[in-house]
Amino acid sequence: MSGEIRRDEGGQLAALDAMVFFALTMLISSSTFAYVEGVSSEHGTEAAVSGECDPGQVLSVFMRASVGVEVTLDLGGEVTISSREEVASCLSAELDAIVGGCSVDQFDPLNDALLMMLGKLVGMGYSAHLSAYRTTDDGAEPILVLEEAGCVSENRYSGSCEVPGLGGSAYVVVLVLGPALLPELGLV
Amino acid sequence: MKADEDAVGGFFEDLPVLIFVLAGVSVLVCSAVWAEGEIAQERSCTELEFAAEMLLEAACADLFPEEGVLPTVDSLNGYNLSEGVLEAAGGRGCAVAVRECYPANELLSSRSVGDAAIPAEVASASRLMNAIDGQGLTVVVEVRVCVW
Repeated sequence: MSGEIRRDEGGQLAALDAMVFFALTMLISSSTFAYVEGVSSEHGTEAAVSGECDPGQVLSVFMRASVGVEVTLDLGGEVTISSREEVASCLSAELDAIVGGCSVDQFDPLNDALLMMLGKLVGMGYSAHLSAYRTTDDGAEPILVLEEAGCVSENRYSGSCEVPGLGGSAYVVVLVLGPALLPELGLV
Repeated sequence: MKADEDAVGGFFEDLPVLIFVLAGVSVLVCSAVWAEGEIAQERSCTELEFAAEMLLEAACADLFPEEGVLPTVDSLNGYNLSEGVLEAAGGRGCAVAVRECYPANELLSSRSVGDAAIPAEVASASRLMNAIDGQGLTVVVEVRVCVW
């Protein structure tokens, strides 16, 4: 061994191999991060809805409950709805009246009471959007829309049920729940 | 042993290679440890959520024994859950609360078992049900369970 340093083009490119190895490890790690994060957030969203607020179940309980407050409507003459009246019966009568030519504004006191009630049932974390449709040959025609605030989130969940109307007709009532937009509700 | 001048003068090349390899292995090991921890925590949460769902089912069956027949608020007020219901939590600490949420907002009954210290992980589940109050109103009550 002379200690001479020799330069030629026959050396091994070990550094290049190491860089490729390092790049592969980074790729594998980022895939692992993305997969685990995706599974966690998906599970969190599912748990939030399944465990806390199932729209179908909330709607079923809501429709069966009493209105809870006495409501007076001006429908040409004064009409008083007792606090014992079932929500489903009130909604059915309202939808029949709207289809029969009454204005939605005339039912504002009842609609406000129903929205307040829904708000108490779903809590502050969700905003409720209740709508009713009449099925026709051309599809579903919206008759009534009640909402606390616009819901722009993609994470919305819905439940529906049928409400019988006059003359054997039926209305479809849909409840959509989404994350509450707290600033729009004036809560923050 | 062989002595000649054909050796690769690779010391200055080996050092960065070693650094790259060590960094790569470290990244792999760290991400594997993190992923394992997250998955273990997820599994633990899932088990807790399942236990909470089971406890909720048992509590609702105990509070509302007859399908289609609504219980009265008076019967729910101060209701003492049976030991069988609390066993559904599988030996974990748990709490069950029944609250009227419409039209009144009041706690009707609650019960908890297990260590009262602040738990590291908690799973909860709730369900809304109807009941009849003393004035003949069909009210809404919430059954909420927590398991830890």
